[in-house]
Formats: sequence, C-alpha cells, structure tokens
Amino acid sequence: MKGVLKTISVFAWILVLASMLAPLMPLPDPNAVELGQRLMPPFVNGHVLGTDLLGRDLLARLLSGTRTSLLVAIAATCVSLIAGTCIGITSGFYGGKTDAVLMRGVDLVMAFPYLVFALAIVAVLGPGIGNALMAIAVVNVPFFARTVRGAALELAQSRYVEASRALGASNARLVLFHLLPNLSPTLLTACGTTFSWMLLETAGLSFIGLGAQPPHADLGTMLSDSRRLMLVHPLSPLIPGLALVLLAVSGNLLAARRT
Amino acid sequence: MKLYLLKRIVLLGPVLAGVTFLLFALMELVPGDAAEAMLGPYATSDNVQRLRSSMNLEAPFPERYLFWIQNLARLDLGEAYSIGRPVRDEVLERYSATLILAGAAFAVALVVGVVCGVCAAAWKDRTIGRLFSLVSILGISIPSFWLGLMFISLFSVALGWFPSGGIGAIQGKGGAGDLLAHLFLPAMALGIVSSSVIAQFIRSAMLEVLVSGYIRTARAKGVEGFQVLMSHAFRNVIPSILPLLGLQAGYVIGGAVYIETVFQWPGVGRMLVQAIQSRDILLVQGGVLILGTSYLIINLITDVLQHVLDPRLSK
Repeated sequence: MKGVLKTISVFAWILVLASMLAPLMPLPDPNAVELGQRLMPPFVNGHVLGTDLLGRDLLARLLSGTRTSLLVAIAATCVSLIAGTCIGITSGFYGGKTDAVLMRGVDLVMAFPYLVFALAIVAVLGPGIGNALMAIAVVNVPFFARTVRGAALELAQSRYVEASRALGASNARLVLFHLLPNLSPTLLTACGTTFSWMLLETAGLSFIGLGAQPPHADLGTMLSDSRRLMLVHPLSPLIPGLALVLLAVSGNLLAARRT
Repeated sequence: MKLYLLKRIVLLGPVLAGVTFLLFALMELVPGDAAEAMLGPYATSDNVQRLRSSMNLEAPFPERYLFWIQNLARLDLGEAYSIGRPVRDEVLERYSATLILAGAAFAVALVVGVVCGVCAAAWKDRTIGRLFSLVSILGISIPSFWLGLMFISLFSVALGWFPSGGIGAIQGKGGAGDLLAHLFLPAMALGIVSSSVIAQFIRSAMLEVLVSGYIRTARAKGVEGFQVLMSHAFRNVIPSILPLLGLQAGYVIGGAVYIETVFQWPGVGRMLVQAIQSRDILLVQGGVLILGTSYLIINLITDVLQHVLDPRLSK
C-alpha cells in the first residue's frame, strides 16, 4: 500500500518539475496551430503524445496546462489562506461583537453550496482564469476562517498568551509572535487539502468554459477540448485527467501525512 | 423538540433575508450595470438608456432591493433576455431535471458510502480495510467531470451500453426505462465521488463506536457479528452522519453543474453556465437562488432529523 502511494508521489513530483522546467525544454509552442499535423498519434513526427484537433503538440500543452493549473491553485490557496487567517484571528482573538459579526458573515457565505456561489462570483466578474481563481478563493475563505478561529480562540486563552499580555505585550505582538507560529501546523494541513480542492475546482471552471480562455489552456480546458474528439479517440481525456488526479492525490497525501 | 423545530424555522428567516441580500448586492457589482452587460459593447447609448429605465435601474439601491424582494415574493424574477421567457418558468422547468439527477446521485453516494464505510470498519485489519485508505484518497482526488468523461468513453463509446448524454431518447417512447438509462452514468459519476467522503466519515465513526462497552457486552452475550455491526453500531452512527449528509448535498448540487455539462443534462447547472456566458444576470440570479434555497432546506431537514433521532441533543 505504502509503495503505491510513494510511486504516486514520485510521479506527481516528476510532473511538477517537468511542468516548471517546460519553458527550458526543446518543446514546440503549446499554442502553435499547425493544421497539417492535426490528430497525430503518439511518437509521430516528434510529437511524443501526438497532437490535438488543431495540430498543437499535446505534450507541450499538457506541461503548460499543468503549470497554469498548479500556479492558479497555489495562488488561490494563498489568497484564501491570507484572507481566512486574518478573519479567523480577528474573530478568535478579539471575540465578542467582532466575532459575532464576522462569523455571521461567514455563515452567510456558507449558506450557499460553494460551487454555486463561485459561479455567481464568476457571473459578476466575467469568465477568465484570474476571475475563476478569485471566485474559488473567496468561497474557500469561510473554511479557513472557521478553522483558524477555533484554534485562535483556544490559543488566546492559553497561559503563555496571558503571561505575555501581563508583561505588557501589544496585541500585534501577541498575534504575530505567539498566535501565528502556533497556528502554523493547523494552517499547513488545511493548505494541503485546500490546494487539491482548488486544483480540481479551477480546472472544473475551465472545463465548463468559465476559466482559462483560448488559446491558453489549463488541464480543465484540455479536458473540455478532448470532449469533441471522444467519438474518434475515446481515450483523449485520459492523460489530462490523470495529470489532474495525480496532483490532487499528492496534495491530499501531504495533508494526510501531517495529521 | 418542537421548540427546536420552531427555532430553526424562525432562524431560517434572517438567513434567507441575508442570502437574498448578498445575491442582489453581488449582482450590483457587475461592471457598468446590468443593462450595459446585457446589450454588449456595441449598444447605442439610447438603447442602454431605454433598457435601464425599463429595468428600473435608475432608482437608488435600497428601493430597487425592496422592489426586487416584492417581486420575488410573487415569484416574479423578471424576464430572461437571452432566451426570451420568464426566469421563473425556465428555472422551474430545469429544476425538475436537476432534482432527478441530484437525487439519484445522492442515493448512489449514500448506498456506496455506507456499504464501503461499514465494510472498511468491520474488516479494518484485513486487506479490504487497508485498501480502503488508498481508494478513499483517490476518491476525493478524482474530479467528477473527468470520471463522467471516462464513463462515456467506456460505457457509451466502447461498449455502447448507455446513452452518452441528454435526459431522454429523441425518438422512441421515453418512459421510466429510457430515463433510467440516461440517468445511470451521470448519477454514478456524481455519486461515486461524493461517496468517498461519506465512507471515510462512517468508517471513523464506526471505529469509535465499535470499541465501546455495549458492543463488547453484545458480543459477549453471543449476538451475531453482522447484527452487532448493523443494529448496535451502525444505528448509533446514523445521527452523527446527518450533518455531513447535508454538506454532501451541497457538493452534489454544485457538482451537478459539471455533470450536467458533461452529459448535456438539461438542468439548472447547465442553464447557469449558459446564462453566465450570455451575461444574463436575471437568469443567473434565478438559478443561484433556487439552488441556494434547496441547500438551506436540505440542511434544515438533516438538522431536524438529527434531533429527532438523537433526542439528547435537544436537551
């Protein structure tokens, strides 16, 4: 069992490294259309994974798509991590009315099914990868805020916080030097699962045409392109999907190992 | 119990008010205004102005919100310009298709989740139990839309067992058999992904219960293993999984957006995607509102059910 999980992680890291180094590799432009070369099978004319409907090299597209998906997922995680942590700490540390107001706001956002709320945000901002990133990040803020609030509430009442407050430490000092370092394990675990989730959801928004816009592709757009070929090439969604699953699994594994 | 039910229903009021306000305020943030968004970049300022006054966009925000709420109370959500019919009619028609899909997917998720979770807990030291941790991590990492595509490749294109999309055959009698054939693949794709979360939760809840004293007593009395598992252990797990089921309902409603796109299922999710692409703000409002309200009601039901099944919570 452990062997299988290890193999998955190794493959995921290879994919991550390859996608980051893709601009340095001797690969064709991922967006270069060459209609004479369309729908090439793998290993023909130097196209390792073959070409798509417009003759674009699938390996180059896979690597650049993976890079886009990864960066978007990481950015979205960071945005909701920062916003959620700020709200959660404010709420847990100050308590009282601040806490009540902030948490009602969080409840309100959570009253929607998260993806539906994300769609509403995309409807306001318009389709596009940056907007999809923001939408997915915003709907995830409440999850971070709740987790952080719970932990901060406990920490704010601990003896060492009380002791340093008695020594005259300011609120800023308490939050930055006492609360944040002690919150970091909780935050890291939450980041692992959130990252995988954001990867799948941003790819999903691209898949339904609301994320990355042509000619740029992420893994979701590649999947939606492959839908048009399914009658002739039933296996065309296999590779972009596997890349997505591989990355999501390793994100979840990182989180599972921490707990 | 009655007090709790009353409290929950009364509390639904402010939440609904908040949700409608949030939705209305969000749509206000559309760059320019709704009239400009609808008519696109090539509209003449004359036409924009005319649409603006016909949509009552010149009134101040609180007045428009009140007006919108009044119309909402009469179930009048305006006219969807991209399809030229009232939003209410379109949304309600689509909603039944989404209900069928989400209901079937939820049933799949529940059955698969319960069976896998209970089995993984019962045989935690055997290969099945250990295999479970691997499969469950895979389960939460597989996007439902990809699973749907792979199902189409395998069961529709290669094997030809099930239709690849739509809600009914274009030619033919239709009927329940036809609907089931069209429903099978999308419901499976959506349900299986959601089931892994349910299974994981049930497994850990079962493991907690299985070490308690009354299980040992039952075993010592000679109660059969299966009966201990189901009527002693699992029965006590049911109340604690209800809130999770409410959350998973939200997942299924959201995931339906993807699955409806993959299988061309004529539901609210696919309508939302099309409405966003054609910048039809009123239609988006209608779709989000009905999905959001369903989610609120489902969570109300699961919460109340939890209190019915476990009266200790109401005390």
